[in-house]
Amino acid sequence: MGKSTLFNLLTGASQKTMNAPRTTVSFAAGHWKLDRTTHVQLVDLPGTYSLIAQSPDEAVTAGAVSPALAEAKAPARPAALGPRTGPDLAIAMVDANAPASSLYLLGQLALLQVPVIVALSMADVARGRGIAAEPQLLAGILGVPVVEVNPRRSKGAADLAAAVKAALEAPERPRCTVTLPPAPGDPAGAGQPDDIGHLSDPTALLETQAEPLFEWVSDVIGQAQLDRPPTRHFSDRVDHWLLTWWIGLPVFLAVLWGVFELTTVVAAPLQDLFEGFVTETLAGWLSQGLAAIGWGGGWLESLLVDGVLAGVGVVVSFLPLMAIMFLAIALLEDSGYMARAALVADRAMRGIGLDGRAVLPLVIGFGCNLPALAATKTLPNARQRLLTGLLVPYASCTARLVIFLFMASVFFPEHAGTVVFGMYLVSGLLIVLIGLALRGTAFRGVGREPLILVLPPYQVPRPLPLARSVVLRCRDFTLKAGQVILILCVAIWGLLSIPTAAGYSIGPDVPAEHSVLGVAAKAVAPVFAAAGFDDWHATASLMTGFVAKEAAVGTLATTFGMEEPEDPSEPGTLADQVWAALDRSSGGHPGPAALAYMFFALGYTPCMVTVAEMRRLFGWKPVLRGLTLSLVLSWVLAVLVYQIGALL
Amino acid sequence: MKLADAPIGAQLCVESAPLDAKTTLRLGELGLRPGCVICVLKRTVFGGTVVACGGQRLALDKATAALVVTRPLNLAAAA
Repeated sequence: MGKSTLFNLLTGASQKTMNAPRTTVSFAAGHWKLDRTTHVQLVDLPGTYSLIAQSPDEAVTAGAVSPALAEAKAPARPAALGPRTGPDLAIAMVDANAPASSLYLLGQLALLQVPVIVALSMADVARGRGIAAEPQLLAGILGVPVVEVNPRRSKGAADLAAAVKAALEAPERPRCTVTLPPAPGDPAGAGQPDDIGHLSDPTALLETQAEPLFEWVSDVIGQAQLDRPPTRHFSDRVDHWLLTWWIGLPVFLAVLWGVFELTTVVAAPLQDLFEGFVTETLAGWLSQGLAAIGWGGGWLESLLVDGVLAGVGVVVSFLPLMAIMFLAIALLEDSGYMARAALVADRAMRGIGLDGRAVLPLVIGFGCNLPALAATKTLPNARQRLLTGLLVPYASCTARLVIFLFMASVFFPEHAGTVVFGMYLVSGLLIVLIGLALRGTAFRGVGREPLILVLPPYQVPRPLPLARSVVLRCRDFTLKAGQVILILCVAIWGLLSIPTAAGYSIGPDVPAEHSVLGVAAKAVAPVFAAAGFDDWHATASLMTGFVAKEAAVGTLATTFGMEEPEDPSEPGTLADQVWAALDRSSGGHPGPAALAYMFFALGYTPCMVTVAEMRRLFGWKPVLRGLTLSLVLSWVLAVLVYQIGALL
Repeated sequence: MKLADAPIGAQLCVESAPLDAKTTLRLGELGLRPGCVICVLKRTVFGGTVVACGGQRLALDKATAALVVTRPLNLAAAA
């Protein structure tokens, strides 16, 4: 219907996204200039068909538009709207082409005495199909201003601004023939403005008034001449083919493959280019600048170049990847295909308690976990988004492939391909089993709802709204996830560059064994004794693997004082060192110890960029719980693999 | 006639949807409620059903469509 497109059009760059308190439900708030002197705060709430909430997202919306509902059902009321007051004005979008559900929501707003203005969308399409869709006629029936908008074509913003300004001075509530029942001992009833404070359970009352509201909606549709007999349209003809199994499934798989390729093959050279600019060109300029003022070569240069700029380089290198992912998501959503993808994949994903749309992030996760998290945004329910987001890190990304290739080539050179393939199978199995386990415990009930899906009409995506949406999402990623990434990069720099022995100064020349990282790795290594790899080199590699999985092999090389092999499947002399280390730590069972190391590396934690993005999307609490679970689970798996392998 | 059994192209009047209260309410909120006229547009992968309901297109899974009771209005035309 274009709600968020309208919001982007009205607020532009002055918006920011945030999570509703104690939830993973996000919404956006921004400033809207109605004219030169009047600015208002505009909030883009999660879309809903009803104020009788059936999901956390809907509960946030219900609580935001009515404090009564916030107290009854949705304690997680966005602070942006103030603690106990409703909005000064709600803008309800009504789809002229399919008005029944939006008018029902409007009726609920009327019952709760919320001041409203109607933004009528898709009116041009409706008129093309012979439906009246006259704003003035509808305004006369509803008793509130109705403004025609077309956010995809950037039309109607000025009219809406003028109408909102007028409505803020003289707010009006929709005229609805249905009223709430009278309060006990109040013969006058509650149908008067500002008289809903007595409602002990307004949600239950809304439920009792659902049937009368349905009747009211039918009357309004009839009076406004918005009804018509069901007829087939272009979208129905496309769906005739796209929803059959023999075309729908191949198209769906082709779309998945296309997005996967975009986020791996297409994004990789762009990532290298961006990262190279920051960590080489920019770093070179910075070093020259510091040298020119006499501060070169010391710990400050190391901190700025190897810590701060490295962090900036990570964020910047991921920007093209995220932009591509955001664009792909926007295209799929804007075109109307995403709902069809959900329908096609629903049966397969429902088995592990997920919506059909979850297949997209999980498949993309095998390329890179970071854009996969962005793709969770396509899921309509906050609990579904969180569950999928917690499963994404178990998808073995291409960075983990570097570790698997190296270890398999060192320890199983005759069967390296089979071992690597086996790790991918284990990754898929972990997603299914953990999904089932979480659905049976912390996410009980998720995915059991029947599938009832509104299929929007197919549309040709408009470049301007798409570009606006991509830019805003990239900015949000850079500002929020970027902060955490920068802090983590500086912390890792400290681990690698601060010496723990005399004779070394802070900087890149500290030997790994005498760095904080080396000391920490030696302290942590005994934890892995039961898994056969209690070797500090291996532990240090897992610790830097948190920065980026592909860094693990480089750390093994560094800690053994060797060059990192260019091709992980040809480990050269580093193989002898790693073999000897695990042979020593496992007491003569290096193969099982190597497998245990690979199992641990598969699931112990995603990289820091992914963690930062998870924190941005879901908040620290669920992310830390998820990380604890994955650490414990990976350790248990590694121990089992080693102990069983050593017995064979 | 159950919605899941209705032929493609059939115009139907919804008689009842004896699902759980929550699902019945959500169907009603989306416009699919007793008395409304719908048209069966498509049977999807895994047996779901797509119907035209007002200007809206609703997709229901097989189990849900099997519980919506309808009365045919133009079966002859659909056949």
